[in-house]
Amino acid sequence: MLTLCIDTAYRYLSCALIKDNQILSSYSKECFKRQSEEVFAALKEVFETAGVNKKAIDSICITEGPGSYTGIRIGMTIAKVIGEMLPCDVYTISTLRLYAADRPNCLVVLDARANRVYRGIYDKELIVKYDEAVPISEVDISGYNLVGDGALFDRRSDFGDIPEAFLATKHMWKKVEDIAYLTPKYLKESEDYVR
Amino acid sequence: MIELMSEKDLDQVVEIENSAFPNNPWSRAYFLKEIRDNDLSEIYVEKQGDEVIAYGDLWFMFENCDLTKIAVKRDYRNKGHGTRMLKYLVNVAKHHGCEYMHLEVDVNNIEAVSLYKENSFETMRIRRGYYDNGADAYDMVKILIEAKPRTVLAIESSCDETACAIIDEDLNVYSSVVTSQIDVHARFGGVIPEVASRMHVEQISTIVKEAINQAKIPLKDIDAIAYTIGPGLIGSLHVGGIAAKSLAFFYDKPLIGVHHLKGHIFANELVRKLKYPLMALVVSGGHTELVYIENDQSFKIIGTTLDDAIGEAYDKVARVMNEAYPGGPVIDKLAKVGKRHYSLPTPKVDGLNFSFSGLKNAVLQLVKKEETLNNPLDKNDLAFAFQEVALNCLIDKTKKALEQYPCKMLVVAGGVAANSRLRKLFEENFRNIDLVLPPLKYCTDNALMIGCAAIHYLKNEKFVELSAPSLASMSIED
Repeated sequence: MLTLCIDTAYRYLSCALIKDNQILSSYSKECFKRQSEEVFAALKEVFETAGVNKKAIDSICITEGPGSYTGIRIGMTIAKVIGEMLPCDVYTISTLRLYAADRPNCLVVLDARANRVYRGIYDKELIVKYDEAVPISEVDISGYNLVGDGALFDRRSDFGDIPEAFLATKHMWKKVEDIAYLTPKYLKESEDYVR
Repeated sequence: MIELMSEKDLDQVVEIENSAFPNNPWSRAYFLKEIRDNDLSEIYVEKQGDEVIAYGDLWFMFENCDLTKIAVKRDYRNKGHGTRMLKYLVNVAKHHGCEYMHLEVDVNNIEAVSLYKENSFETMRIRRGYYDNGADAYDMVKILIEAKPRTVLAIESSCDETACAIIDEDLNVYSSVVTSQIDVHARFGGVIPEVASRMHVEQISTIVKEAINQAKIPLKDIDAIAYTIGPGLIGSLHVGGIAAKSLAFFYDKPLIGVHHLKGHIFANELVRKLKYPLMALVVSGGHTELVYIENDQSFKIIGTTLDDAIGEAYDKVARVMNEAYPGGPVIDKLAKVGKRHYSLPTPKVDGLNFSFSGLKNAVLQLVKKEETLNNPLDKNDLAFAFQEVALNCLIDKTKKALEQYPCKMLVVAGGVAANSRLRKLFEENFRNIDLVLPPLKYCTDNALMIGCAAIHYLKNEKFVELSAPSLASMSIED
């Protein structure tokens, strides 16, 4: 299986070509809010480095959210359009699950603004606490391996090696049954925008 | 019958050669070499029994086919054998996949020149002193591939419609798929940008797939991918832009970033060919602009709104009257049964610009005043009063614009062009100019209009990079 992995959901623009259990090529760069302009140059680079024909991929794996709304939609739009047209399989993974990779006892936090964070707690393959948006004040980081926006807690921000994380979580990717119905996991409903 | 020449035809061919080209015939040895050693060459002969009556030699060089010789035996001339051989050779070249056929011919050989012209060879240039005897030659070429009109797949997502269409250079429409989010936004009383972006990403792959399925044209046969690059809601533009770029990237197609308003303007080409200079009045929820268009690459905004767009004013007035979003169709409907009753002030703006916020405020004041006086509000009459004032502003300024910038054609474009009263008033007021009103289905946002505009970008070779940013605001003049 040759998979194109793309994460544009948060601060980084990361992509990788993964064949079976090997990363053929990868790209990862902090690129906050510029992903839409740089993503195709990055994809071009991973295909060229790996020497792989673009149409030879048989699947795409993307982060489904949470994260920056615009960012999530970049990877998801690519996956939906190419998944339908090429066609190829589409897999998704939670942004927090991806960043946790296979770490034990891992707390992932991403800034959700307005004094809130997206939080997920994972212990290797286990989900300890599902992804949700919570006030920063409710988050206790003690005793965890902290990943993500550590700076919110006066720690170092660390997102790990995202291409490696795609490989490490490969068995946790979720296959999308119907690409037409694939939607981002924003963790905030449209209805919230009504008022 | 015509067949490939073999060595046993050699003597007869050399004899015809000497008689047809006495000044510079090919030798017997040369013909032999041509048959035996030249892999790029094929000589064909027409025979009746064993008698050779005509022959022709082709050289294949990639996309080009050179017709190096064609000759007919003296006794058989002027009997159609030359034409027959030429047509046969043209077909051979087409089968080889050649794109054009080239030859040189003595300018004094009037018979041959006319034969080539009859078979749609065109003279490219004269080669002075080309032949050994000093005679000039024409370089002639025939295009072998029938140029198919190029097709464009276009995506529109600048506001609350997700749309995809496929159209070709000759304006043949293969598909046009639109989903509107209007029901959702009606619940919210207007377009909420984040909600619009979310709906675009939900719809985008289904819409693109549907457009391709309906067109029955595989992506590999599409010649360019176009999308609305701006202006519009940035989050919405992003989704269509990324979708278009994904297709351009994965299928190696040139990418065209279309200005949304050019789309509205060029949609009128689906009615009839545009004539320049052209005046366009663009009226929608986001725009009220008079655009003077000298040719398909020269746009000048000569008038614009200083505050609200006309469609926005319709929405706001509808809201004041507790009517649904979008306001345009509602007010149009109410005004049909309304009568002259309320009076509203005509906005006073110098030059060719517009202003609608004063008119909107006047409506608000009027509603409040009637409330204070306990007078029941006649919505029909109010809609009538507002619409007459607003539309007459458009007519006045458009007339002024045409006085200052004489044009051969006037087009109205954008969502408000669907307004029935506007259409009637424009038809009545602009009888002396070629007026084009877009069909109702092309007034609201759609991808076909982006395709229409994209064809001009394609012809002018105006492409964008995969890194091109979408633009919330951008001038039509750039």
